[in-house]
Amino acid sequence: MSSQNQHKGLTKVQKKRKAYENWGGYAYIAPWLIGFFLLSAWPMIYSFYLSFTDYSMLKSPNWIGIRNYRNIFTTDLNFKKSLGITFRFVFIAVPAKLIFALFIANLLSKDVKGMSLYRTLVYLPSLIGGSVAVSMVWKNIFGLDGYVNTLLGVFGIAPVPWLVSTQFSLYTLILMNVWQFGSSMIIFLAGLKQIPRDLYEAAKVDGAGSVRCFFHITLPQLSPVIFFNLINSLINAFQQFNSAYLVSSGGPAHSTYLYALMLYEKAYISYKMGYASGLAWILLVIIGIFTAINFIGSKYWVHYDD
Amino acid sequence: MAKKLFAVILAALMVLSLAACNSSTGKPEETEAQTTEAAKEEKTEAAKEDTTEAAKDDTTAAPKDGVIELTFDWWGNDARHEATLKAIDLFNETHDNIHVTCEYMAWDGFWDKMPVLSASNALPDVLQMDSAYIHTYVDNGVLADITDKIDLTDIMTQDQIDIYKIDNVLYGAPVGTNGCGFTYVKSTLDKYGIPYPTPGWTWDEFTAWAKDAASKLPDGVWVMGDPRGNAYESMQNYVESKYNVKILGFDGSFNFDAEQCKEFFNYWQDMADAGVVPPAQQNMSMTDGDATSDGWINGSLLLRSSNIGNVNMEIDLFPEEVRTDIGVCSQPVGDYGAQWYQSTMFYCVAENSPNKEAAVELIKWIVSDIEAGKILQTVRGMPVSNEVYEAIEPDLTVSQRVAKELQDVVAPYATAYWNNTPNDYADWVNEFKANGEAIMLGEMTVDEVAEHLAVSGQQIYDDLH
Amino acid sequence: MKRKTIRRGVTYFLLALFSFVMAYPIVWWFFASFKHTYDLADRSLWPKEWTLENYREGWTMGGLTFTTFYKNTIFITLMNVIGTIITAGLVAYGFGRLNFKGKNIWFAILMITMMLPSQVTVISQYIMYNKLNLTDTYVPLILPHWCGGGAFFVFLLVQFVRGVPRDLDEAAKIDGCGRWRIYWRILFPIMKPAFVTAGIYSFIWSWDDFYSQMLYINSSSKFTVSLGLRMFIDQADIKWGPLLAMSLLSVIPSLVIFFINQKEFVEGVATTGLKG
Repeated sequence: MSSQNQHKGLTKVQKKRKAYENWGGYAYIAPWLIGFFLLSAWPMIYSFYLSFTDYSMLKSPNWIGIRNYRNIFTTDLNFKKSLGITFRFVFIAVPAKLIFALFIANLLSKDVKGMSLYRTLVYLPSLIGGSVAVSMVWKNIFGLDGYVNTLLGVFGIAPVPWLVSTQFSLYTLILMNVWQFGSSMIIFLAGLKQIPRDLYEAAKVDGAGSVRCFFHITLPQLSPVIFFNLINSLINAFQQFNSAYLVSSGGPAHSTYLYALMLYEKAYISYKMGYASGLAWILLVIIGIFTAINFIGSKYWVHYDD
Repeated sequence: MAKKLFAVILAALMVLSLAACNSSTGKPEETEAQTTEAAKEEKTEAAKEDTTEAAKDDTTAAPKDGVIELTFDWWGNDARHEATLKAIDLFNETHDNIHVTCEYMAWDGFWDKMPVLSASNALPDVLQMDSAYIHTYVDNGVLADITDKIDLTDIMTQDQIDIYKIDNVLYGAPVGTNGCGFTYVKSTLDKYGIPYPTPGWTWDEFTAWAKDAASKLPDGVWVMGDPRGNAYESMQNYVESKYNVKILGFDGSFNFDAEQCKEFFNYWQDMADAGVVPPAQQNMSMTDGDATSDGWINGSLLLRSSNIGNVNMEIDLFPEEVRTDIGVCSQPVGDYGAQWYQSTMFYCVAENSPNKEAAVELIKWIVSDIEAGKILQTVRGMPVSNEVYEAIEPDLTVSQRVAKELQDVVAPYATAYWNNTPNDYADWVNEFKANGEAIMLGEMTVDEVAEHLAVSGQQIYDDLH
Repeated sequence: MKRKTIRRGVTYFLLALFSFVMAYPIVWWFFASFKHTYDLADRSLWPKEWTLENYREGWTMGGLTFTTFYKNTIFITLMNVIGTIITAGLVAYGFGRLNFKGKNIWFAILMITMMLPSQVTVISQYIMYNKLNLTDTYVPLILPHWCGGGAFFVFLLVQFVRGVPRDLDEAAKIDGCGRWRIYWRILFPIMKPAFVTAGIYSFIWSWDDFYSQMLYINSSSKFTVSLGLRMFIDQADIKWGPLLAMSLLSVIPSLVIFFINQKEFVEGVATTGLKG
């Protein structure tokens, strides 16, 4: 029967089923599709077009070809520096954040008294992430004679210039970013809860210790969620703006001049919207490359049940 | 069980949202026509209910036909918003043929939003403008020529008005005079046995005074903040005062002199070595205006470079007793004056406004009407009009009087009109600031920086011509 | 037995340590909101003098009160959360479970939209809304959440859906269930923790979202809490006292929502019944 089908192509019934499936699929993703065309496709095309103009927002755009892109790679005083700083930020903050998030989620998934309280406390920093008051709090705590240095002083360590030296400033921002690991942690928690208990029980019967369980059951089962958090954290880290803008203003001496801050200043302070669009598309390509690498790599370690 | 709980929460949320929906004025489901009608009705109802609301952006009566509708946007803080809204209410009451709606926000938000409005041709009729941005907006043709539309000669001399023209055209009416001088707490200087600074002092006198003061100060207290933290503006002030040089001319000229740059940085390095300014890290930890880390407020710095426009807010960070104890002085005076003294804020009319005459009428009223002046007081600096100033003088607070004292001591030594940065050099200025910080932290030498800035700035100039 | 108590002890200790580190800035913030602005430079945690003036002063802002701002923000946020849960679920089911031509291409495009920095698309979007006279309404803020809620949530739910074994689906199909039935009766309940997660995030991000609110809302009576807070900051004059106080208050709803709903996680999930 099936060999007959192979020779003759799809039967009417199969074609109908395929059409039915196609129609169904599109029906379900319709809300997103509509939103995409309205709110993403058109703006994306337009911003791509703008990157080839000298648009300042105040005047109509004039076509200037690839001049923006050429300038970005040659005469821009800060492009390479900012990119380097951003890469450093991403490749330290993302792993640190994920590791902490997983570690704490694991702790919290066990039965501990006062769980709700701990969970909320740990999640607290993520809640206040975008607010301006946070910058003041952070500056205060990491000031030269702030809380952290006072604490270090108890252990006999000299005050660290967290936000006022070019060596430490970026790490302070990274710390702040990692401090807000709560979002990733919550997602890990949800994922951990979905792992069937039987797997652990079976393993324990076989005599596996908790470390073994973690690496051979938890991690593989959690891998789709880890993957999700990885992609998401990566994308967010590349676009990180708030802490650079609110806490360090890109300084001192441009040592925390993250890409998104540079983009913002080009757009809203220098009014070079065309140029900024070019920067945005370059960022998009970079993020795209890393995401693609991760997607391809995911075949090797992400384990779906379906 | 969990499912039920979830459903209950969802239902509760929906009920709550419906309740909130009825009381808010935003109803996105309605069509456009319905929205305006319903919104008007809701506004009148809300206004009737809420008689205590002093400042509303829409009036209590729906505008009649034949009335010109104007929008007016500004940035500022709470005090400015409240005062301006009150003033506009007064305007709407006293002007039957014009109705003004307002939009107001903070500084960042304003400059993020104006370009977006401009891009969709939706700029307000009247917008507050800052000297830092006015040239950019003028260059892009979005501000209207109001030279012949507005007559300010009853509150300013023609010479004074001409200062604010760009290429002989007036684009904005000046609001509030501003300028930069020094302020200090008298009893603090007394405590250390330091004589008060003398207004009109020359650079040499200032240097001597500062070094002498530094020698009398204990550890952890310095004379003033390091100007190299804001390198471009500080150097501009320095070379303007001594050599009458504008580093970035408005005609697009690039007048950066590497030798002058070195002179500027070396001068302040010398001052730093003498203990006049704090070490780099301490200096960067102090943020002006931040109650937790302002060096002047917490006693680590003697002098503060203050602007007339916001000195009263700075002083308000002190406890009451201290506010009456403030002394003022001018910046060091070179051959060409001390520092700038002019209006840095303007009211402009949008080029695509359909009601330019009415817009100009509004502007004229705000800057010259006595009653308006009494409401607005000094939320935008010292009033431009002498008449208005005299009307509000008796009610000034202690802090506001300091602003007046500062004005008196700065005005005689004003340098020529100070322009903002041409847009094309914005990145270069940004780089200048970063390099200044690098010098302070010892990461770049003065020679390196002077060279780097000269070369990169020249490149921009060459690209433009 | 002893091993277990040691392990327990270590767990508690680590948790307590982390909680303290995470929470300290906020503790500082809490106490600072009760200090006079001129006492803020003080290094001590405890206020020299307790005052409620920051809360009192902060509540009114430019002629309006935070009551209005809260009402507005609650409305917008709830509409967003509901829209997200409903539409992101549907879209995730489509991508995660159904097969259709071009699915992979569209999914790749979905990923791409997550990556574009928002500052760039904002101008075109604004121009579009302006042409439709929808500025100064809440439509631009709410509409995106009814179109799948954003790539993040779709992606989140897709990952969850893909982690759910197909056995139940198959069983239901054999019983004659159509696509909708499978989704509504089987997957939707299983995905509940994911929905709660999505709901919490959607709530918090809508609540905190400043940029779109600032761009589209003009009338001060339509202002939200974020916009109200931002008004405390202007160039050289930052009203730290009221800012701290009102920011603290503005964080409470998010906190409460989170605290209440985290129990959903504790309840566990139906998957344990799957293998049985």
